[in-house]
Amino acid sequence: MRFLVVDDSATMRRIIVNSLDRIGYQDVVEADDGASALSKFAEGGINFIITDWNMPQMSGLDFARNVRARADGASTPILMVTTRSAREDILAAVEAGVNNYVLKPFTPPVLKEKIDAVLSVSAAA
Amino acid sequence: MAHPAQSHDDVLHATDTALRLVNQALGDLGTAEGLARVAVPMAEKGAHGSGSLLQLASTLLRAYAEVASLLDRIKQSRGILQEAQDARLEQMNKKLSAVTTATEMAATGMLDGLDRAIAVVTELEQEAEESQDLVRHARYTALREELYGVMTFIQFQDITSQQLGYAAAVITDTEKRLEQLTGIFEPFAADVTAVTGNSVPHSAPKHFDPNAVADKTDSQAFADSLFGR
Repeated sequence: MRFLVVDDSATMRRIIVNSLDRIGYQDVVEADDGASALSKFAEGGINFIITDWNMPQMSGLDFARNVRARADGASTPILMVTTRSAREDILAAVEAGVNNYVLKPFTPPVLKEKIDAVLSVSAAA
Repeated sequence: MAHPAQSHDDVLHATDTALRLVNQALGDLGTAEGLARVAVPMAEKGAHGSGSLLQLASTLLRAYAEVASLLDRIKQSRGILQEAQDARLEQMNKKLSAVTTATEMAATGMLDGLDRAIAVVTELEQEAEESQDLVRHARYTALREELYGVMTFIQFQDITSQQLGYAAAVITDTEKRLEQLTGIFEPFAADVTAVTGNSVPHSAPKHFDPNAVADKTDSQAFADSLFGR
């Protein structure tokens, strides 16, 4: 399974990549904002997206909307990992087509729990 | 018209005093008594009465002198605001940026060190496994988990940098507001946009979260309830 990890913070990308490695996922592509993530997604082969919200150029929310607008992105799982905790933000993420939501700071077990939850729903659909 | 020997406080105090004097003079002209001092002699002596005209001219000259003095003070005040805007705020923004860079470098250094430490511990763990030393193996496994745990705490750097980003945006916004304010102080500035109040800086870039350090327990529970965990 190939992950696309999108975060403008190199530190956060590294922590997410390390966490994924720890829970058994080594195939990871990285991007530092929504715009470059969209280009990498368009190249194909991405099975799961983990994205931050607050990024320059294109936010994670706009990135999610753009992915959902694509024929090949309609069913790709999207997990949002962000500091944005306001209820209206979480609702906006739901409307944008995000499949699950993790607030920073998170632990690898929480990340695994969310990934498993999203994958189980996707498998059932 | 600068007076370098005067302190900022002196100039601001003098501006305040000048404003009070002008206000008083205008107030005098605006009252019935003040108006009477000018208008009654004019009525008594007729429209061509030279005494009332001289009195009016004298009053206008006094008012003009007060306004000229006020403008002078305002120019000096503008200089002070400009100085604060250009020097202190810019310096503060640079410091915040430097702190963000320093925390990023420190976080990268810590992650590098943790990566190396985890690699060594994993190696020792494998050696213990090969030699069937279960106690040592369990200790190395526990140590590796601790190191991974420390790694997740480095997320503080991202949260901190978002807060610093917000602080920098507030400073940038303050700079713009001061710029607007000093523009208002420019003589004959008629088309200056009014400074308006906003709780969030209108000029702020949007790639940070001003509430990045808030308690998120309830929010995560809310998200879980929406997404079904």
